[in-house]
Amino acid sequence: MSVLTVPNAARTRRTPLHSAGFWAALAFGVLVVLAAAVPRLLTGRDPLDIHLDQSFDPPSVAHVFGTDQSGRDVFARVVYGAGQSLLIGLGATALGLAGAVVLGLLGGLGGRALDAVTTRFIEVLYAFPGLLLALILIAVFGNSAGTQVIAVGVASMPGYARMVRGQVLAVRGSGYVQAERVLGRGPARILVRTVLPNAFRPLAVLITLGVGQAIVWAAALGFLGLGVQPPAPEWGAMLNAGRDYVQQAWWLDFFPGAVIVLFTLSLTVLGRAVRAVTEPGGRR
Amino acid sequence: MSSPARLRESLATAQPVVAVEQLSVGFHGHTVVKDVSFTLKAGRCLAIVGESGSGKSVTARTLLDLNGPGAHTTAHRIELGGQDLTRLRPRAWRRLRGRRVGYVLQDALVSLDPLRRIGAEIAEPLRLHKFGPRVAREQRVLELLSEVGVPEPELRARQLPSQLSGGLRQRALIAAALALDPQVLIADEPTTALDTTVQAQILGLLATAKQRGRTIVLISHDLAVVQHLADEVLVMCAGQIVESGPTTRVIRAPEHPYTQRLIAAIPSAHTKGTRLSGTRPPDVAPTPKPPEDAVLLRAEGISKHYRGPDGRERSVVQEVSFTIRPGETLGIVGESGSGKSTTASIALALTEPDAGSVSFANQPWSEIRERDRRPVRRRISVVYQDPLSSFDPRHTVGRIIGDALAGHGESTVIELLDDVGLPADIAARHPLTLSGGQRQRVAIARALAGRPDLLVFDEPVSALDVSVQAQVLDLLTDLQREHGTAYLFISHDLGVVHHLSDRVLVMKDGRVVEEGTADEVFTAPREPYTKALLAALPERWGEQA
Amino acid sequence: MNGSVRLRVLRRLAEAVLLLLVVGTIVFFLEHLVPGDPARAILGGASAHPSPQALAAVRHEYGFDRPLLAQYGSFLAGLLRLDFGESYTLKQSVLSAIGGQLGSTLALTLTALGIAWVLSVVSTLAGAGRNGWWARIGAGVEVIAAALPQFWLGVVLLLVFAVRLHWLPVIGTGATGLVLPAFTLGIPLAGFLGQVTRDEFDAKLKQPFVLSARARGMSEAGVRARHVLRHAALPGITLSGWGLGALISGAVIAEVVFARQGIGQLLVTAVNSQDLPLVIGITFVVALVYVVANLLTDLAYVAVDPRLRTTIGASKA
Repeated sequence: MSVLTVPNAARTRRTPLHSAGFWAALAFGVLVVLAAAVPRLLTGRDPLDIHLDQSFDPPSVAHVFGTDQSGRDVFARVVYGAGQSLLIGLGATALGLAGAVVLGLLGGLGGRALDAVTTRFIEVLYAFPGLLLALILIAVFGNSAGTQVIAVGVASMPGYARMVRGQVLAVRGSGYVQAERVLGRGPARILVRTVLPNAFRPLAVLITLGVGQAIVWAAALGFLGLGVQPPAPEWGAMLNAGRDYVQQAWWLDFFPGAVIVLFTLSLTVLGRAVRAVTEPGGRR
Repeated sequence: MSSPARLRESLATAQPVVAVEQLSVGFHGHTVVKDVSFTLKAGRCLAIVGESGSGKSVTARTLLDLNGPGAHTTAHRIELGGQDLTRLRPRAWRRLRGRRVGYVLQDALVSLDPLRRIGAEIAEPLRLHKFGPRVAREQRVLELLSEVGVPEPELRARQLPSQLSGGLRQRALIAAALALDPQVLIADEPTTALDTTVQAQILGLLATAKQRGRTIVLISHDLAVVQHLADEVLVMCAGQIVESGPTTRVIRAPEHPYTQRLIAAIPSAHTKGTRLSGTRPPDVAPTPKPPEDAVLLRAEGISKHYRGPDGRERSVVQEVSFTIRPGETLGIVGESGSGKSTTASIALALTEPDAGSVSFANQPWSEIRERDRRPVRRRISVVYQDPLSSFDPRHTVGRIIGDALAGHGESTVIELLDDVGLPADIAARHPLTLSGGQRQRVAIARALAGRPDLLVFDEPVSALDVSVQAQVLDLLTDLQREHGTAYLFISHDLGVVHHLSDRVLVMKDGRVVEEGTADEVFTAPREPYTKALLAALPERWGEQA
Repeated sequence: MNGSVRLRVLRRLAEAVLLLLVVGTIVFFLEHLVPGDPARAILGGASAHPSPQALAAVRHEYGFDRPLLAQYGSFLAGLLRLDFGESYTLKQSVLSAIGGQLGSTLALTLTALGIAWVLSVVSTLAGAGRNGWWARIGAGVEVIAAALPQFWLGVVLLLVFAVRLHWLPVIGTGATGLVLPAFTLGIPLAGFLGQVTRDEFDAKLKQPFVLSARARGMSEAGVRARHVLRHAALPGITLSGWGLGALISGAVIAEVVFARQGIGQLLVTAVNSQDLPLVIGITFVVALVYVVANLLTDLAYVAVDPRLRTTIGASKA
């Protein structure tokens, strides 16, 4: 009964609002969103302006991230690239979620046979390396920005679908759904008012983390030369263009990549903070 | 009785084996044990009794320095066999643990490493304290298993904890604690979570160990459990000792009001019709009893089978029949796996019986479609052991009860909270922030929202401390008197069932083995199983007086 | 091997066949139902302008003019014999093209998996369940490591250790050439495995059986290594099968960064030129590797968790 009871004082948890990491993540996240919405606020330069006399300038006060082979300002390109990269990430996440909700609900709410089929299907896709799934789609549909969104979305779908199905099943089997049945509630009402809201609750966190993952995957495809094509200022495409000059101009790949890393890290930290606030411990 | 040399020696010098003076323990500035002092002589048993949060486990763990790095311990004196423990270094503590003090935890399923074999777990203290070569250790493990009454020791030593029953696991855990014949054995709730008959066996095993000269510190929340084994009792409350003395004196003539309340709170044959929590019943007119021949719910020959993971059919409920009359309480008592919860689920029409039928208010109940049942459902409600999992995690107390009220405008959330003895401001709170007793009251309030004719209780007080349990049981009595609601009350605790029930079913392996009025069944049992159950109950002091 | 293990192996194999069939079928129908002409891909891709006669000849040669179901039938029959046909661009059998590259990629991914395990176990044993700065730094490093994309980590490692410090070759074969790509893949996976293992380790440290072990006189190091680590390794082992999949994804990137031979490079080329037989073939081989990896994972799990082995004497006392 009293095994390992920890006195209350020891359980007081640090809230995310007290951690410097949270505030740093929030600040960086806001900065990227700002760059995506109004890039002109952050840089006065044009990302497509060519100055052949300034090619491969290393980072300096004038060009904090240096310049590329055509003398374009890398910082301006990173700032202007935020919009498209964010859009690709959000689009792919939305696509993946939409497909996942359909599949997950089919599995979680359909009969036993339907669940068995969809679950196998989801598991099989989940088992498959995500980037490969995306590559297959690009191979079939050809190389374009649209395909890139679809490919990343489909690649992220199995993970979400698994989660949705698991949540729906867990909530359906929970004590509080049984309590609703005992009160004489019909299945439709229980589904809409109790099962779905509770099943989708943890998705908020998942989306925060998922957008970051989608941006990384999209950038990886871009890096391989699949997706938005240079010279468009998009993070993946910039990585691809910088690949050829990596030994002579390290800044071409370093800075766009670092921004991607910091942004996904920020999303991870923010996602965890959201989870810490919305899902207080102690629930069984 | 054989008395080993050590016992005689110790008695001759009259030196206490354990001596603690002015012990205080705090965690992060929060004191959980304050000014605790006691001594214990060789070959005797001291019981530390208290409810959760009383500091009883922390006190005992001080003797092993097992409270973890967060604990801040101060004491004038902590001595074991004359040795001062207050200045011991970590390495010296490790030499002491297991060798001079053995420690037995409750719930052996999680207290034994689930990935290691029983033999390896028992051999661990032997290996750590360099007890002979490997062969000798293996031999000793088998000896120990036989000593604690585990049949087929060679087989059991090769098995994993999950392959043993709860009783055998607890025996194995005791064997590991006894491996190096320690001076003192600390048993921390050793019988909690065990069935009554198994509980009696484990207590018997500890009694044997004491007869052989072992000194025992027994920690329990249940005064009834300790009285057979303990020579002395410490009663703890909120980190302090409120009463101590010889066991029979403390139990028969408790001096401190807390101990008196604690003892009065234990439900048994002798508490029937009395208040357990010491509060006065509310002043309301009781609902008149309905005619004798009226029947609210009737189950006839219900059976239920499940297919186990091994593909074999298992019969969970077989040919069970009973009736519940309006306004009465039918108790179902049985050990784990007896089918009592499945019976409750069938009565609620949440589980469909394979055979037999249930009728409610003289209308078919188990055989009709769910759609037709729904309008009637509000007349039968349920309260489970774990109320938290039955609340939508998004909602506040007010919303939880309000949702259950929707459509029936008979009362308000505030009235219902008042009915179950909760203040109105609880409505704005989240169940997570409530105590176990408060949560159970909220669950009862919700169950009452539809003004049901029948309330099903499945182990509603099993997770509660005895004083909280007493309050909830009194509340159930009051509510029944006021509203005339019939109860189907399911519990493994014979005392609780006897206290509350008018009639009782005793279930074993899915069948009803005995039924009758509560007094008939519990004072003059006919079936051998019922007799065995009652015999396994720790003796109540009232029966001796 | 007893019954329950054999059952798991059989189930895995069934899953494998299902996976291969599903992927194969989806790719086949996508290829034939979406607009676009494989014959064009064979004759040089979107930029080429072959004559109608040439297109027709190619269509006939590859059987694209046959009914769809007949094509699907021979496609499936080919799969069963591991015959994926001929690559559109390499003009070589798909199987032999893959065979030449598979070993290099496997060496890379397995080395990376080993690195990931070593790093995460060391990090967990050192920091999990402890208080203070050391544990918090460890946890922070794991989160950051898990978030590092291979395309960036690879470039950074390349710049620092090959271009700047000259410790390792920029493009190398043999053991020295394997180091940087393997760390590029291993570090993020180590961060991921480390987080999972650490969480489990922390949870298990609070279990009563740990208190039991301490009460018997076991030291802190003993409790960690003998009791808790075994429990904490279980979720990591389960995830290793999945992790190998992630490593193969990553290998595509790492092979491009370090200009290393392997099926990742091959795949990128195939995708760029819409060489579907080659894409399907690589997909299949990866799926096969993946299935074998999961089988091994299952066996490793059984080795660590004896509960799955015991079907004898399972009757409760």
